[in-house]
Amino acid sequence: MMKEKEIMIGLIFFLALFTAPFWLNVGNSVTAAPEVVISAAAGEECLFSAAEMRERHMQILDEWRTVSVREGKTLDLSAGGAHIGFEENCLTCHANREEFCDACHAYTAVNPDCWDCHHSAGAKS
Amino acid sequence: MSGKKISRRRFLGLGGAILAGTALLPAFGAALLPPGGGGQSVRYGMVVDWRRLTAEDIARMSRACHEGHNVPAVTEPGHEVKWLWGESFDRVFPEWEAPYAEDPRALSLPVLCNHCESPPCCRVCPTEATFKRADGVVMMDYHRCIGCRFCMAACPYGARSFNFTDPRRYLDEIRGDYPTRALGVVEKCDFCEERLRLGLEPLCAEASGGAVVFGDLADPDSAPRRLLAANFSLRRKAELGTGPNVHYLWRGVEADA
Ligand code: HEC
Ligand code: HEC
Ligand code: HEC
Repeated sequence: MMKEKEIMIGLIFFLALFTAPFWLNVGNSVTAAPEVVISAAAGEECLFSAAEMRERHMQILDEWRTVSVREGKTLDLSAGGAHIGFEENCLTCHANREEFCDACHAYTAVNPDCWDCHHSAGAKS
Repeated sequence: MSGKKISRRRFLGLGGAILAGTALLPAFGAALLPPGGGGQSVRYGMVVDWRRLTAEDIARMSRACHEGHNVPAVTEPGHEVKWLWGESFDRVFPEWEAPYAEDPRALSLPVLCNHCESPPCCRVCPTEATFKRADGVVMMDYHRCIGCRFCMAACPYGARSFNFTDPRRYLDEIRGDYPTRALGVVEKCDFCEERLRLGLEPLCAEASGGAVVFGDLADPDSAPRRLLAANFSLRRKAELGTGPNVHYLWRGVEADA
């Protein structure tokens, strides 16, 4: 009985703290998703539909890499089944890596380490 | 009850049939193997006619390899990255004793990964980042390398290098066809597997002017096998049982005689 007041204060304090993220961000605008710029070098179509690529490109790349490096096979992604490098494939069309891959990844907070080794010099102009 | 029982006579009969079947397997086994697999495997290897190579030739081969694979020219001692380089005879074949022959320190041989039959590097790799492919190439999967360097300790030929620094700092120009490596991964010669797929021979063989012959050692009619059949040859530290697939022709004895 005696502690009712203290409990109420504690509860209000807790609720204020718990919901603080909402109050503090009221009025702040949400970071807009970056405009994905499709480079002029790209044709009309990706290797897969844009929706599928958006959803699955990491899996596609992972599978391709495994099959190519570990099994020595070439996935028929394009170029009629000839062996073609990762950079040559994706970055020839998506020549604007910074505005395309990197911009979207920065927004979605993914940080793939591919560019430590793979480099745009491999793209054909 | 009696239906489940097997008589001694029947048991022995079945055992005999299994034995007979196993004995016949070699004759009919080929039909049981999956198509395309087994029996026709490729084993890539290399024959080095090193007597025909001068130090300049080896430097040219090394340059072709290193430029083609974006291998950094790190200068700090102990941190060098090398896929193919020249080494003096006494270091390549230290067990070879010939005190009255020409000075072995003056003879230079190209050395590279031997793409061993039973590679100790692959046995110790905790992530299977390095592994033996069916065609005999000892591959590096840089995507899986964690940089533990067990493979470097295991390799008896010192064919592996570690990236102690960002390799791109040591590349004047990053060339297109092949990725670089990154800080903290081990790298080595891959028999130019990215060229083999396109039907091209390795860069060192191409730059050697015919002194390095590359091919399928499983095929008795291949160019390297014909060379090995006609000449005496050596493999590095063969006594360790690693089964190197790089052979060094031992020519010169008959020429000098
Ligand atoms: C032939 C040229 C070409 C190649 C090769 C190519 N792309 Fe594309 N990509 C495009 C085009 C054009 C679009 C836009 C398609 C659309 O909007 O309908 C696109 C869209 C995408 C998208 C979706 C972007 C969005 O709208 O949100 C992703 C992700 C993507 N590509 C990744 C890749 C990757 C990864 C590779 C390499 C495996 C690759 N692309 C290879 C041309 C290409
Ligand atoms: C439309 C936005 C978008 C574009 C454009 C885009 N990505 Fe991604 N990417 C993502 C998202 C989101 C993830 C994370 C998915 C997850 O974690 O499940 C991701 C993940 C990846 C991963 C896996 C990273 C990891 O750590 O597992 C790779 C590799 C990758 N992307 C490569 C590319 C390449 C190469 C391009 C350009 C050719 C590209 N992406 C363009 C949104 C995009
Ligand atoms: C430590 C360096 C390194 C990093 C980091 C790296 N790669 Fe690679 N990758 C390579 C090398 C080297 C090859 C060529 C191997 C070979 O076939 O000889 C390769 C090959 C590939 C291939 C096969 C096609 C080709 O170009 O030969 C794909 C696909 C690939 N990488 C995707 C990726 C993706 C996606 C990432 C990022 C998540 C990534 N890699 C990160 C070094 C790296």
